Parts: sequence; C-alpha cells; structure tokens
Amino acid sequence: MKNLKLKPPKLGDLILKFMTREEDNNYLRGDFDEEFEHIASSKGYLHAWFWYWFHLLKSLPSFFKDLFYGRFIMFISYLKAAFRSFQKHKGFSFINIAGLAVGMACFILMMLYVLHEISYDRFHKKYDNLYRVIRIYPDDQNLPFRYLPVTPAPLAPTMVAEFPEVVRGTCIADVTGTMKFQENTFSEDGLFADAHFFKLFSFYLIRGDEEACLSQPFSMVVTEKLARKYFGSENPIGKIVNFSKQMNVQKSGSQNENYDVTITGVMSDVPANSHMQFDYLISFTTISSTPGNREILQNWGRSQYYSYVELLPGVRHESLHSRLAEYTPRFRGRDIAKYILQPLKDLHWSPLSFNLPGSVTNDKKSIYLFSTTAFFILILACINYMNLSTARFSQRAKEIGLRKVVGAQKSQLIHQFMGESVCFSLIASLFAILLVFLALPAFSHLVERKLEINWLSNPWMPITVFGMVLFAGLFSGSYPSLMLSSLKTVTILKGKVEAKKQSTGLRNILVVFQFAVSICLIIGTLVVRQQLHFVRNKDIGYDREHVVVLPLRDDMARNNGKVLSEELLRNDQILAASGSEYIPLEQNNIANIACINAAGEKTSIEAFTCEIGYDFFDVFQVQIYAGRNFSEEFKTDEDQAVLVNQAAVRALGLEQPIGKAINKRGQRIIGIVKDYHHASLHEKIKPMVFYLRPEAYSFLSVRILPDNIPDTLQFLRDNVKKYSPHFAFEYYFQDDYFNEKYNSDRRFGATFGYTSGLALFIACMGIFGLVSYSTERRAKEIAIRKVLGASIQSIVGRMSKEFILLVALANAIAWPISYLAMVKWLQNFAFRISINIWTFLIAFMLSLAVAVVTLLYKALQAAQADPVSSLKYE
Amino acid sequence: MKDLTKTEEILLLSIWRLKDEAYGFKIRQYVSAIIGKDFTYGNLYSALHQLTKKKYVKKHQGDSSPARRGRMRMYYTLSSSGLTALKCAVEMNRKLWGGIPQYEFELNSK
Repeated sequence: MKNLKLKPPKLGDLILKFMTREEDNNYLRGDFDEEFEHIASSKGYLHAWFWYWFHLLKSLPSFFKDLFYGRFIMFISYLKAAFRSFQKHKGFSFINIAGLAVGMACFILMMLYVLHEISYDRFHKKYDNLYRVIRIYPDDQNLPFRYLPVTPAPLAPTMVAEFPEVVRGTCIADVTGTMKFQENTFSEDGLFADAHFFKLFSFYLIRGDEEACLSQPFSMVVTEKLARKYFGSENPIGKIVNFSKQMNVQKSGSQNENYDVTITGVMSDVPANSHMQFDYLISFTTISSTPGNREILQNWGRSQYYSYVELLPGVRHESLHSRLAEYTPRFRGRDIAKYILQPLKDLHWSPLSFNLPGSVTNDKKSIYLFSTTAFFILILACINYMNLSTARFSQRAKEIGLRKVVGAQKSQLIHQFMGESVCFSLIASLFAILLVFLALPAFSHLVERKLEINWLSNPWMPITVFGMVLFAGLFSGSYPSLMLSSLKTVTILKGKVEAKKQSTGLRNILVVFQFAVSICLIIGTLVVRQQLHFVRNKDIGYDREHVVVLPLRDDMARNNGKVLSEELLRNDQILAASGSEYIPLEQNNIANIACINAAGEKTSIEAFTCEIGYDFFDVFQVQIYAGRNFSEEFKTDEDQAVLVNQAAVRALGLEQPIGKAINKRGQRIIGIVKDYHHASLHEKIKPMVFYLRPEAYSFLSVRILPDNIPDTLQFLRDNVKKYSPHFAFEYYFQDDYFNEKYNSDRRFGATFGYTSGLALFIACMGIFGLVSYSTERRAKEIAIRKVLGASIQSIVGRMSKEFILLVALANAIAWPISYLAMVKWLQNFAFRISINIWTFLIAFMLSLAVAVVTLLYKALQAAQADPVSSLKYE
Repeated sequence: MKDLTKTEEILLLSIWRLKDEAYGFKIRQYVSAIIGKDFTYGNLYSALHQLTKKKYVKKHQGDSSPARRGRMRMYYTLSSSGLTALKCAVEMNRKLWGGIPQYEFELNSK
C-alpha cells in the first residue's frame, strides 16, 4: 500500500513526456523519479509531491525553449517550400486564395448578421429576469389576432402589488409627436415611460437622476442624438420644449394634445440591437395630467400600453400564468383576454413587434437558415481549396519523396501540409476581412440592419473568425495531406504520381455537389423574380398609379374632409379626391355581416368593413359590377345603403343581391363592386362591405394627372396645411406603397440572386481546379494524340465531355430539390405563378455555359500546347 | 575555440568532479549546491544537450534503480575537447585574477 502511494504523479510524468526532447525524456523522467524517491524517503511524500510539481513548473520555460528551437528550423524550411511552390504557380495560388477569401467573406458577413440578431436586448443587465406582458384572446372569439402586446395601464403596478415574485414593473406607451424648440420643428418617435423605466432597462443615463427624471409630469429625457439635433452643444437640461402629440390614425377618437415639457435627462442613444427604438421618453404622469386621461392608472378598459415586469431570479414565469388568469377578472371584471409573460429573450423572435419605426423582429427559422447557408458556403469554398491544392500538391511529389528519403515521418508531412493550408487560410482570411469592409454597407442595406464590425466590444466575432481560419485550414488541408503523405516513396521518385482512382471519384462528387447547390440557387432566383414580376403586373382590380394618399392627423382636417376635397378639385390637375377610413393595403376593421340568403336561410360571414366617401371608387378606378355607387342624389345612402364586393356576394350565397337587407339595422345593398385586391397578393380576396361616410376620414386619396407632379404636390401641401397647421405634411404614392409591401419578398429574391452568383463563382473555381488537375495529369496523353494527328477540337471535346456530364448530373439532382423548395415558397402567395419548365432549362443552360467557358480556357490551353514540351523527357 | 559560458564551465567541472557518478540527478544536486540555488532539470538538460552537440561531453547509457521505475541513467563524461576547453577557461581565469592581491580584494569587497 505504502509503495503505491509513493509513486510520483502520473500527470506530471505525462507532461514531462510531451514537453521534453524525445532523446532525453526517458532519462529525464528517470532523474525526476529518483529525486522524488530521494526526497520522499528523507522528508516525506507530501514534500516530494510538492517538490515534483514545483520543479516541473520551474523547468517548463526552458523545456519550451528547447523544444521549439528545432521545430523552428523545420518551420523555416516548410515556409520556404510553400513560398517556392506559391511562386511557381502564381495564378493557381491566386485563384486558390481568392476562392477561399470570397467564401470566407460571405461567411463573416452572414455571421455578423446572425450574431447581431442573437445579440438583441442582451445588453440589459436583467436580461434573464425581464418579461413583457401580452394579451391572448380565447380561441372561440374569431378575432384576427390572437396575441397582442398591449395591455391596460394599471396592469404592471397591480402585478407588483399582488405577486411577491414580481419585483418591479413599468408601463410604456408609444407616441409620435412634433417637437418644437425655437425654430426647429420635427416629428419624432418616443415613449411615455414611468419612473421605473431605468431600473428595469439598462439604457445608460448620461445626465439626470434615474428615478427623478421621469417622476414629475411634463418632464422629458432625450437621447444624445436628439439633444444634438435641437440644442447643439448646449446643455439640454432644464430646456423647455413644446410637444404636440400626433393623433394615431389607427386609434381614432383620441384628442390632440399640446403642452410644454422640461428636459430632465440625457441618455445615450438606443443601441441598434434593442427591440424598442425611441428617441425620447416623456414621464408617464404626463398622460394622467392632461384632460380626459386623469384616471388612466385606474382604467382597465383601454389596452394601449406595453407592460414590462421584472421577476425574482430563478422564478419560472410560467408559474405566474395560472395565477394571472385567476386574478385578472378581479382587476378587470369581465375580460375576454388573458395575460401571459413573454421573456425578453423571445421578444426579437416574436411576431408582436414594438409599434415604433425601427423596431424590428425576426424569424428564428430564418436565422437557422442563414447560419446553415453561411456554413455551407464556407464548406464549398473549402472543398474547392481542397481540390485545387490536391492538384497542386501532386506536383510537389518530388519534394515529398525527397523529404521521405531523408527521413521525414508521415506525421511530419501531415503537419507540414496542414500548417501550409492553415497559413493559406490565414492569408485568405485577411483578404476576406478586406472584402467584408467593402461589402458591409451594401450588405447592411440588404438585410436592413445597421451592422458594424467592432472586434473589441463583441468577443464572438474574433472567436468566430479565428475558428473559421482554423476550420478552413484544417478541413481543407486534411485530404491532400493525408493522401500525399501516404504515397509510396519509390513510386513518387520514379515519377509516376497517379492519384488513386477513388480520389478523382471523390473530387467529381464534390464538383457535382457544388454545381447542384448553385443550380438550386439559380432556379430559386428565377422563380422569385418571376413571382415578383407577376405580382407587379397582375391586374389587381384597381389603378394604383398616380394616386396620392394623404394621411390626415389633425382633427380639423379630418372633420373638414369634404370641404378639403372640394377645394382640391378646383385644380384641374386633380381628377378625383375622396376620403376614406382605410385605403387598399391598410389593415381593416372586421365585422360580422348577417343576411337571409337565396335559400331563405340566415347566414353570417366575417367581412372587412370600410367607410368611404362618394368618390372613393373613382379615385382608385374600381369598377362597379352591378347596381350603383353611392350618390349624393339619394339622401338615404348615408345610413341605409351599403356596397359589397363579389366575394361577399359569393360568401353570403345571394342570388339577387341588389336591394337585400343586411344586419339588424336593415341596410340595403345598392351595388356590387368588382373584386379587387384590397390586401396584398399573399392573401385571397376577402368579402368586403363599404359604408358611406361623407365626413371625417383618416385618409384622403387623390388621383392626379401625371404631367406636373411637383406643382400638384405643392398645391396639396398648401391646402392641407390650412386645416392641419400643427403637423408636417405627409403623403405617399399608392404604387410606392404597393411596392413596399413586397419589400421582404424582393429582399429574399436579392439575397438569392447574390448567393447564386457567388455559388456559381465558387463552383467554377471547383471545375477549374478539376480541369487543371486532369490536363496536368493527361499532358502526355494529349501530346501523343496530337502527334498522331488529333485535331484541337477533338482533344477539347474529349477533355470536356466528362465535365459536361458532371454538370448534367448536378442538374438532375438540383431540379427536384429546387422544385419542391420553390413550390413551398410560392404557397406564401394566394396568387402565384406555376413553375415553368423553362426556368429549369435556363438554369441548365446557364450552368452549362459557365462551366464550358471555364473548361475551354484550360482545355484549349492544354490542346494548343506544343507536344514536344511534354514528351521530350520520354 | 569559443569561450565557455559560466554555466558550461560549471557543468563541465561538475561532470569532471563527479566522475562515475555524473548523471542527471547527481549533477543537478551538485550544481545546485555549488551555485547555492535550485538549478532546474529544464536548464540542466538544455545545457547538456548543447554540450553534447559541441562534443565537449560524451554520454553513455548506464544502469537503473527501482526508484527510477526501470528508466536508465545517462552518464556524462568529459571528452578531450571538453578538457581542452576547461584548460583554456582556467588559463583565462588565472590571467584575469592574477595580480590582484588578496587583501585588496577583501578590502574592496567590504
């Protein structure tokens, strides 16, 4: 027993084994053991043990020095060999590095995006304990949205009071308003927030007190950006700004409010990766200090506020849900909605976005897709590198043979080639970083994020890049180094380097794979473009060209809508003008419409409703299919008539719709509107019911002549300003708005386009490598054929045949895959194209053409070469 | 012939002194005792490697002991060129130190 205990530490022994020169390490370890024994017998085991470790540590520096001196010399030799072969094949090496660099640049860009997306809201110190409260409507309610992020104002304070687990809560409301300081007037987006705001969220307050700055009514905290915009370099604290709250178009009925606020704090700008974006905070008590809102913190009826709560660490938020469901009826009386908590870490991935511009959400699936694609591209680039360098390394067979003869071991050769490819990937990564800097602005625009490279603040980026370099180097160096180091010395030196049959097979598979990926992407790009073209040119049932839409925000303008439109019509550039509650592509109200149908049964459907002015259908040039439009001649139209669209007629099952009474109020259908696409083409045409409302609109739509648009717009501005003096003039063209609705689809298409170009480039590199390899290998064969009288064409044909077969095979693989994928994507659209055989043929032709061009370059070179040069050694 | 470094000089002298006992463990103990501080195995083997390369010492494998768990001892002996190098070093030292009277040295060192 005692003997066993006296043994020196095993781990130490192992360290010694690896840290010392091979020729000495047995004796050295023996010396260590002997001294250990010596000390153990005189001073005890513990002492010896300490001595052993202490001495080992003390010896380490000189072990290191000793160990790497010899390696360093070899390293120089490897470096020389690598550099020489690089110089000998400049073009080849350049292509090799360029391919890898492009792949890496893509990978870095995509990872930048992915890292940005997953960094959302992580800067909050209480990231893990913060939750947003959201409302759910029960299933049976048939409402269009089951989840809403808005809650009544008293919810958060009540939760803090009722539940011990809830530490803090804050109530927030979004607001858009016009800020006026001296001559500067701008419309800005911000929040109403209470005094707990800075306790929950880690936004950095530069000046002012965290709690006091938002506790008094009419106080405001601005971001640095806003402070600079209004006050320049002056200290903004204590400045008084006039603020007029803009009425929200969607939430009609609220009052216009106008008051002076004092600036009590300055905070640093909201980070780009925050789910809530705002430029200022106004104290929540301001809301309750304005007339009409005094009871806001007791009012359970108005769900317009965002509630955030902080839970005690370690509390599972699900455990609160059932108790919340139990409690809420007590708070609210009869409430159809339930409340649940949503962790802060889920917010960026939830479709319920914060209702201010710049606040974006994302789909977690798209991130997975993105990172997989990034990794795929990197692997493709690596595969090419592998292909090209296998071809190149074969030309260095003599070097390998000689190294082996002189005594290089297999492991040393593997180290050499691995090291070389890691070096290459390091060089490629430097180029890649350069490319990333060049492409970043365009890429940021494409993904609609403010991406930036900050190597220091985000440790993940350097780690990713370092990992990428190592991965690319080791992965792409693995195959050539293993293959080459296992070649037999004698055969190499005899000059017969024939790569084994299966290795060309593997390389062929790789090229097929690359081409298949590029073909899939090309087909994807084509289908997306065709669908977007279809969307743009489809007859949507109304004319969206030359329609200017003016959102009316001022009550005065709203209530004078009719007078305003009459005034506008005096200009002969303006053909028609009409107010409405909604315009096409805006979200609508939904109501139940009931009616006795043709069979005499009572039917009830859900339909979109919209209140419109007399000339609404003239402005948008929607045709009336049957019956008549609203008319001023019939005074009863105002509350006894409705128009419906064809879809509504079909849904209600009416045969003689004109004159039918609907609903309890007995409004009669006086006309049928031809179906038009009120929503985007992603959706089917839904039943719609139009009511007449001659006054009070949210939007004023104007059809103008295309001749003199700037003057017409000036005229519109002057007239609208008369009724809306406090608000900036806003307008947009309906066709722009229409195009905007398909922005995400267009971005999808653009991403596809870029990646397919890239993948094709990488695939071309692959085929280039393969051709170079095979022409190099078959140089003698070609020369002999030429000597025997083969023409250049026949030789090129012979060389190319096999590669063209590979491309054809890649097409055969890619077609079904891309077909299935694109059919799935098209299902997002209610109105879609059918995928056409030509799409596939175009992709085939394109991939073939690109492959042939790449091929011909190398094959022609080989065929035109002087046969003497490759035969003179025989 | 290059001049010996102090470490090389000490090592060569120690190996010469230790005669048949000149292997790692003993050399380290001896040198540590002479210089009055711990001379690590790392330094020892690195220096011995250099001496072997310069052909000042010869090495031959020797016996083992149970404490070494079957690992052999590597014995070092001076080669003739090692001996010449030592003689040169002694000659240089004599030239350097000669002519400095004992009392003066002691006085100045106080």
